[in-house]
Amino acid sequence: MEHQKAMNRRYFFLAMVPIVLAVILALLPDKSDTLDAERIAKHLKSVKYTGVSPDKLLLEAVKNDRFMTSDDLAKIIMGQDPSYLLIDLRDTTEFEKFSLPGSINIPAKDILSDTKRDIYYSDAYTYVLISNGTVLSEKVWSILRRAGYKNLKVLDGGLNQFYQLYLNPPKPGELDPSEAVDNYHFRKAVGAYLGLPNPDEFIPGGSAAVKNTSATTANAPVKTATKTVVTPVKAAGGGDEGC
Amino acid sequence: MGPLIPEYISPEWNNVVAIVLGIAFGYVMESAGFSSSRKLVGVFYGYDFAVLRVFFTAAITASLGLLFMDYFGWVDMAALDGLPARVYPIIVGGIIMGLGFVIGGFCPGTCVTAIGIGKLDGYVFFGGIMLGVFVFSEMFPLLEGFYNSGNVGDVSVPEYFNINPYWFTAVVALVAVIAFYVTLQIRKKVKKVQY
Repeated sequence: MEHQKAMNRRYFFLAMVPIVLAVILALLPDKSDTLDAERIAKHLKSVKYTGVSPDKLLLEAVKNDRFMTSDDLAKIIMGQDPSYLLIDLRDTTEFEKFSLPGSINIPAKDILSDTKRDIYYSDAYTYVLISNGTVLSEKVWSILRRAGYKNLKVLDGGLNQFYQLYLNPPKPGELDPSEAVDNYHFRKAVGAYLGLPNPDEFIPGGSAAVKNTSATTANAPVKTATKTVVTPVKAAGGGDEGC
Repeated sequence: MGPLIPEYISPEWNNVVAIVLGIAFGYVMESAGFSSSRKLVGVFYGYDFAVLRVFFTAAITASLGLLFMDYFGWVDMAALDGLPARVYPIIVGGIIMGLGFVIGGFCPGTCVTAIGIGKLDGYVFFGGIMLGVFVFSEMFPLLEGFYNSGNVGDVSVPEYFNINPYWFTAVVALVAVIAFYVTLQIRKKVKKVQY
């Protein structure tokens, strides 16, 4: 009889466990801030954690391996590597003014919208995030990493540095190693491939003259010098229509 | 291993994990006495309610566990796939399954457990399942219309009736405990069966 009572008590406690756990679960605070329609339909009150956790994201942010240099990107563009998808994060108006060949435009504010997400929802690609600088693309990188996307790269220095590098590649000095000379020629070739005007071809004195004019203070002779610079540009532009 | 810890156990291990889990499942079923058809059909005659208790407990444990793990962010419940609920075929299938259960004394899982300990009726039951599967497959073009009727999609009960899944689980847990108590009282009144 005593044994029976003890068993009954044990059954009672075991039976109470699921009820108590279920009530605790029902009373837990609502943490949902997700916009996922499926989770809202299921009335789930938890945050969706599919991406990397905040502490791991911090570790990744300290490492710099997410950056892609302009030269690497140029090689990908010229080689037309199909495993890379270039995502231009700027506004549509800016994108229409100029963009890198092969890049697609997803403005940063639309990056998590459902219709746009289908475009880059694949592990097969490596995604290169592109904006004018790095601030916007870094922001989007951290958002996408938290949302669980992999294979993301950020264009180091952004489009500004990219164009700066190929519009006016820094000339190697006489004491620089041969790689610097190779790099210089490669960058000039990229500039030609992208259809960027080459200062050496149409400005008397080449890119060095452009640097000189910007370096000198504004006085009368310089004004005439800039005038002489402007007219050949127009002429070159007219003859350069094939580009 | 599924959605739980994909970054530590890669999907290549899925089959290995499945075999280990399957062996553990079979072991627990056999230890609980589920390889005995007399124990299993006890739920229909009122002398043993182990089946009802085990399945009700399993359902509550699974739903509580999933909801808790979803809350802590270990499992994404929205990403879990369920089979679409086809209402009318489920009713007919449930009747056939229940008849098979009470006549044959096994359900598809427990008959394999019975084979594990060498029971002849387990082999016969398993042969019957295979025969049924074969006949159904051959007849499928005739049954296809009915098979797909009453499809309401992949929905859970709280989703379909638009109620809070947390309180729903609490109510199910309460109902389960009441069922345990009621079946205990029934068992006390029914004559004891030795098996």
